[in-house]
Amino acid sequence: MRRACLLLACALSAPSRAHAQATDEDLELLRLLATPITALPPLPLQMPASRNHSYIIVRLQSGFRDGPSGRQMHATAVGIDYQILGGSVVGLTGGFQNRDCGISGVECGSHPLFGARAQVNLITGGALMAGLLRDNSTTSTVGLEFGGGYAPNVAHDLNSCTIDTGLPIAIAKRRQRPRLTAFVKPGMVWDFSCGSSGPGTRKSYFTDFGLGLQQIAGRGLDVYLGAQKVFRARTGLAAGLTITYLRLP
Amino acid sequence: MTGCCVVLALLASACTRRVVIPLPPDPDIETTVFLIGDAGEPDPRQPTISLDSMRRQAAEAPQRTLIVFLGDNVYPDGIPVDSIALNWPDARRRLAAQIDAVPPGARAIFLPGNHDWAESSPHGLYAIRAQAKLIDTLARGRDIKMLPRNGCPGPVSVDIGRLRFIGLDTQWWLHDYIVRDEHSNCVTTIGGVTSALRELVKSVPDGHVVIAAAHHPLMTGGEHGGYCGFGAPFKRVASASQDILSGANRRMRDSLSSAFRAKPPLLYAAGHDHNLQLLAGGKDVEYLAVSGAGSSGKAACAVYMRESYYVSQHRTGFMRVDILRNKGVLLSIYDFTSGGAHGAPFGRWLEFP
Repeated sequence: MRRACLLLACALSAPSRAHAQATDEDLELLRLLATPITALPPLPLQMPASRNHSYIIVRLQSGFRDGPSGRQMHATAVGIDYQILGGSVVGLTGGFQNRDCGISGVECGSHPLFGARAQVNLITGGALMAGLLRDNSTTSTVGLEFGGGYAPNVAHDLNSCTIDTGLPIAIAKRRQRPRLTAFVKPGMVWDFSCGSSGPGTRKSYFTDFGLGLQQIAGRGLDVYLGAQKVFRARTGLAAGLTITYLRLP
Repeated sequence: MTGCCVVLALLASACTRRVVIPLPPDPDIETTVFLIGDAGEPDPRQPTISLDSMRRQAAEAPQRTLIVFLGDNVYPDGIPVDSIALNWPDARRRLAAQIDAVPPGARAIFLPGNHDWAESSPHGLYAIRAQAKLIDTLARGRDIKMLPRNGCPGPVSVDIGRLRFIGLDTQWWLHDYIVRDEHSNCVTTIGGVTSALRELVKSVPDGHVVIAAAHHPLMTGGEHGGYCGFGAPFKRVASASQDILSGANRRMRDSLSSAFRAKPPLLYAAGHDHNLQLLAGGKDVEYLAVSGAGSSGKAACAVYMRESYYVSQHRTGFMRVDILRNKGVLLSIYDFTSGGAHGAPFGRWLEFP
């Protein structure tokens, strides 16, 4: 009887034992890859606009990334950005990401993700790159980026928070619309648990890169295809599409 | 992923590199306006390529040609008030090079810029009057003059066929020193100037073409617009009145825009930034042009913005506007590298024929 009770107790506690089977590294990777900076396709610097106005931009991001188990985690989000006097941008993002249920103890399904981001437009010019690219209309932008993200219930009793910073660079060319743009952003991200248990804080390096077409239809519609590599084992590659729309006054 | 790349490449290759529109047949052109700014630093040894090219084009039909110099006609400090000043001969040379670029039979208007107001210094009002007098002298009776005159802010208008040209002295709005005295025989209040401008654009008959021009742009992707160079970020924090982001500049632009809203001009042309830009104007003006690349030594950076139709940086050049007799306005932009090379001109119909 005593042995039977012990077996029943083991059976009932099976999920939590399975959760325990996920290593700290698994959990930390899940936490790292759960917020907008790593879950969603890269967000390039916005095209410069006139200093006469500030602009509201709406954004759709959708893509996937390889989870620690090798399964793809799809993520989709919408965002709203505010471009201040045609340069720097602040924005909010909300969406969801499929969990990596290839990890023991992680249920399938999705979790929400939220983020806030500031892209500080430092220098926008073009002389050097115009010469190199032999296109007199080339414009290059260098900025600084700061972001924060939150994703609850990434796994059982694990909420993810991240803080990131990066150095975005964008180069756009072509005299006529649509403008062809290439972008890259090396950066680093710190992930930690917030309001839950979990492994200690960890820092990771990443690089975003991609191509885009600006002003595809009218003056405000841009489409970017981007990818991200986090320089950690078992993080795979993220890729996806970002569409932004800005309505000129 | 590969599919998306193919789509991107196809979309990119589907577009032409540069829009070239041939000039309309000569008999169809009623008026040709040349817009060239910041030409006050001509090479002292050889003809300036942009002035030379403009002169050759204008000489083809001078009787229908209006050349507008968009300010900063004499770098760095305008015409010295005292004609025995050591820099007076060089200042005169700079102005003479531009007047020589006006072929016989063509008319020309010089608009004042901040450098013509003695580089925004206390004796600017007297420097601008000295420049107007020197233009009269160098013109030798030809129809070449400074407008607005006498240190007045304008607006002044010139009607040629379908064209109503409106000239403004925007430095008057931004100057921090004396801008009127007992010799000023014009409206010299901001409200008065704005009202006069509003009435001037409202009174334009339908079917006519309004080109307004001044030295300072209403929008620019150049240095004065808070772009280009390492100093640009600081201009956002502490702008001079010459820059788009400053409060004084914004007040001036808001006043002009409110006046234009009564009946939006087709084109507002300016210089100030040393590049060539054609921009979408919005609800106050249909098109904005920056043509401040008249001096090859000063040609500078320009950023392609969301509003840009065309940008040319670090090249000297000018714009040409052909107004057709019944309907149609074609803007062409000519730019030249420092070596003198040039491609086909950019063209855009501002009003379709």
